[in-house]
Amino acid sequence: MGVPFEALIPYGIVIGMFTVAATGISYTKHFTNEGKKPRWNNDLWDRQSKLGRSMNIRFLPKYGVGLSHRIWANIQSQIVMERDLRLTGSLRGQINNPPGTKGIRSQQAMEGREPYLLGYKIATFSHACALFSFLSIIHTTACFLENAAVSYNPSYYS
Amino acid sequence: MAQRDARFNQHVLVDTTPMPDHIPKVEEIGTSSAPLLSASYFIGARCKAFNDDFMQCKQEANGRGEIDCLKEGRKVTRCASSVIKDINTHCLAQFKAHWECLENNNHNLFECRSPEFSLNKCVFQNLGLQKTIPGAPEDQVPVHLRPRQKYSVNAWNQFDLEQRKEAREAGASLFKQQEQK
Repeated sequence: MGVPFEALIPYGIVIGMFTVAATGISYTKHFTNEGKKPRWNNDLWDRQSKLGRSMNIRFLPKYGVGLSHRIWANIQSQIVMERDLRLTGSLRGQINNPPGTKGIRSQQAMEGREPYLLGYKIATFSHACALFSFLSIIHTTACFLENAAVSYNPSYYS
Repeated sequence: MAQRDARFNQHVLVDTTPMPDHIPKVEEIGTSSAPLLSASYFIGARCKAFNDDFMQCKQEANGRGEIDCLKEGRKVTRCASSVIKDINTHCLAQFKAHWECLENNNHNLFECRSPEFSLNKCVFQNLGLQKTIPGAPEDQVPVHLRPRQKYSVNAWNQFDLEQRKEAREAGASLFKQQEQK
């Protein structure tokens, strides 16, 4: 008696696709958040400007090279995390330097540390994006988001 | 004026022009959001007078507060950085444990009561600063001394046995103080 394996093939494909999608999402999430748990439902202090969250942002030339401007505004609206970005070079970075450490100006991008961090991250992220962005629109969005987090342009602030 | 539409953009505006030389420079606080949140109640405990002074100055300056209250603002910055400096010298391990826990738990204080308890204890012993939640009801145990954290995802009961005992004692002594009042 033959086993009707043909009937099971679609189930195998469905389960396999779910696995691939879940792996891809968790991988991208892991790298955007630097191994920490993702932040969600940020309070008003973390996104002080409600305007920055609005979806009706017009096209803004000169701003953020090769990025969706909505994503830029989204980042900038999270005021405190954006300050972290300026201090450490990444949105999820945390730093506890004693006051007066050289190179710390919260109004300006950090000078010494950034290029290395950015270079490292751009490499990882483009790798992840290339792997998974063909799968679905969710992956593409995730890649967009992390690219936005990464390609922070220090020349804008300094 | 002629027809010229107002243009608004939704960016946070950052002025990168350096301050003029006659304004004294202040060292910035070199900490990012999680350590600041972790130290916030101690900053509040030590710097309340300076902060209130600054806010009053801004209120009375009629919109010119950014320029007129620079002196008060410098005091606020200096006081906050002194608190962070003291915590760093005396309670670095507890401080680090707490803000790393916060950063990993969406900056929710109720997920990190155990490291917070040991940080509070260390800071009170070394710096004499005590966490008080402004506006909290006085006839109840403050939330950071309660053994059970209702909204926590990680664990309802975050204190270990020793901490639970100490928290109970601290809550009881608070009640005693209030009864004496």
